[in-house]
Amino acid sequence: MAKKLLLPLVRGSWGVARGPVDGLALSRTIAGTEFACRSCSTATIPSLTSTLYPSRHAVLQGTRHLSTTAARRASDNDGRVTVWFTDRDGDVQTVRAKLGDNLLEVAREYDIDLEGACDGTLSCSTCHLVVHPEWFPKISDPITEEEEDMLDLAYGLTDTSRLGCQVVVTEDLDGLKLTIPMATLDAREA
Amino acid sequence: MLLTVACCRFASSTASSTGPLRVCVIGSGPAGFYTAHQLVKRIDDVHVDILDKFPVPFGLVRFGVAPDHPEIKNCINQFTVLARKEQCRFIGNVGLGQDVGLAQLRPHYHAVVLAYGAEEDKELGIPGEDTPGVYSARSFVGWYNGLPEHRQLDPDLSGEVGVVIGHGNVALDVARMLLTPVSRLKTTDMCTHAIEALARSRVKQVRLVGRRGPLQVAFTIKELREMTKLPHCSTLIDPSYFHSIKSLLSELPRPRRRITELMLSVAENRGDKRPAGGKEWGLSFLRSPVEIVSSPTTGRLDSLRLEINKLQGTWDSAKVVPTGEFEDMECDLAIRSIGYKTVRVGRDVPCDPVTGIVPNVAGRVLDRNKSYIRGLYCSGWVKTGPVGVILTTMNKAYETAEVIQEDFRSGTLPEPERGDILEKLNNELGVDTVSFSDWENIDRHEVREGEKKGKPREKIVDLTQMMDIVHKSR
Repeated sequence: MAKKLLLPLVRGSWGVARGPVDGLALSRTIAGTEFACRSCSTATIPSLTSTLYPSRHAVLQGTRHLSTTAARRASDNDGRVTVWFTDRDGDVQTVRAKLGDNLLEVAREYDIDLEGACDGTLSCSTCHLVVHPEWFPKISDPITEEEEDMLDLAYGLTDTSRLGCQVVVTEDLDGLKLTIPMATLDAREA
Repeated sequence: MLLTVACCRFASSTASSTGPLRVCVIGSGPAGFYTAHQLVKRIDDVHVDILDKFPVPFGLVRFGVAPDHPEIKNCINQFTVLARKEQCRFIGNVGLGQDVGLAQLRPHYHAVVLAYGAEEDKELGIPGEDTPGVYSARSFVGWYNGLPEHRQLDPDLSGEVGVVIGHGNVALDVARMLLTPVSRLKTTDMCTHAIEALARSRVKQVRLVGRRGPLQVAFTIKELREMTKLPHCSTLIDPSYFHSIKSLLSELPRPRRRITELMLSVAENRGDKRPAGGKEWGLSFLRSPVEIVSSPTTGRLDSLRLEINKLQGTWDSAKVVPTGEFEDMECDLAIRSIGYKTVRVGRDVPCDPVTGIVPNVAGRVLDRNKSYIRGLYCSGWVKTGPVGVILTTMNKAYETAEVIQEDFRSGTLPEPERGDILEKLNNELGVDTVSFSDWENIDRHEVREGEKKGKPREKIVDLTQMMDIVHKSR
């Protein structure tokens, strides 16, 4: 059977609004509760007043709409970049992931439903994530033979699958989109 | 299109007006713990009791995972976090069927989850199976991993040639323990009595015999790769088994293709390096043992009589057909590793006589008439059969937790009629139960003893000794 891109079966899609406020508003859609950006603080950008809604502030950073000064990096003020997780129910959670953390650590920080049974030691495949095809080539951590071996056991394996514990958050991954695959057997189970 | 689905599995489920949802999970291995973990996550007001027949928790994570695979045991960290939560209570030293019956437990809970795994090993059913020198992998693994009932196995390792029957990860574990330099084993949590025995072992060659071919091996690639890298040990795989397979490679699903390619490359390169040290392991395919032959003088194991097989059908549904041709394989040690089966734990626990599985649909247990038994569920190997790694069990546990949540929401769970099970166990039934903090005392003791020897822990293999530690630290 030729390799196929098995798109994960999720109820959501990648079509979440990309507009500056909606798309990057740091909100959890769980039970309708919203919370604002955890790590932004208006104090870090003296030019913005404290009356600004925090999420808009984050948006301004994230979408690089700060035009007056020299171009800033997405992580300039808090050492973090934006990562999107779509969970098994199709809910999208946008988080500010700390540079240098691996994706399993990011998931744990934000209580995202991603298991890491072996605590990131390449001994299981429970932190399996499907990376959006556009983002897959931007991950600089190469897939080692050991990671491939563990991916062999993962459910819903795709051509853009990675183990979360092996991918470290970098500047280039600002806007990274990931899906937590359904934990069911698929046809590839040998 | 902004996704604002609010009503998903994270929406809280509140308990009935009579108090929290009370669940009893029987078995504290991965199946039990992952089910409990999911219940605590999904349901706001829940209390889960996790029972185990041993004073020590974690099931096969403690007693099954190989000593040189400590990372796989990391899941214990998450189990520990869960066990320390208010909503969760470990109750050890209680055996279902031995100390308390299912009918006695059920009235105390809204739901009971059977998660006690598969304790017995499958037998070959051939003449000579109880010949001295033949062991089950279950008891061999139990021996080196500290399962109390197997601590005195004292396997005879005085001969050079060992055969392991089976092509799964357990078979590889057994072969690896027999061939790994003892210096490496000394710093693992393998029981000292086993390390000492392996230090005296004369076993130098281990052959894994399986009834099917290369495309049907059940072990996984990481474990196979590990075997090919054993120090001072060569890997012998006959390339002729792969002639007809080469052309199929590109059609195989990725995991199967990669592991077959690895075997093939090892088979084709075997002439290149023969490391000094003289140890060797290899795979024999298409061989079924039909008789275990003992020496007429000593009565000990002498050889295996093997029937040669051929396969019919496609690789993923290959049927084993005996050819009527035989060969003999001389050996000094034989370890049978052909799978496990679930034990029947009481008349009131439904159990399929053939498969050993508790009859169920998605984890809801069925009675003899195939109707659902309200409030009775199963998880792990009793649910699916004894196959699969921790990941598989974890996924299946999620499914069971999901159906319990569904049933809870739809009001189909029976209301408990009785109070706290601990009172019944301790006062009425006289069971000396063990709490999680009692286990933590045992744990601290094991770690301390291990430190003295440069090991992560020295497991206590005697149940009385375990209970002594529990009593002394109360």
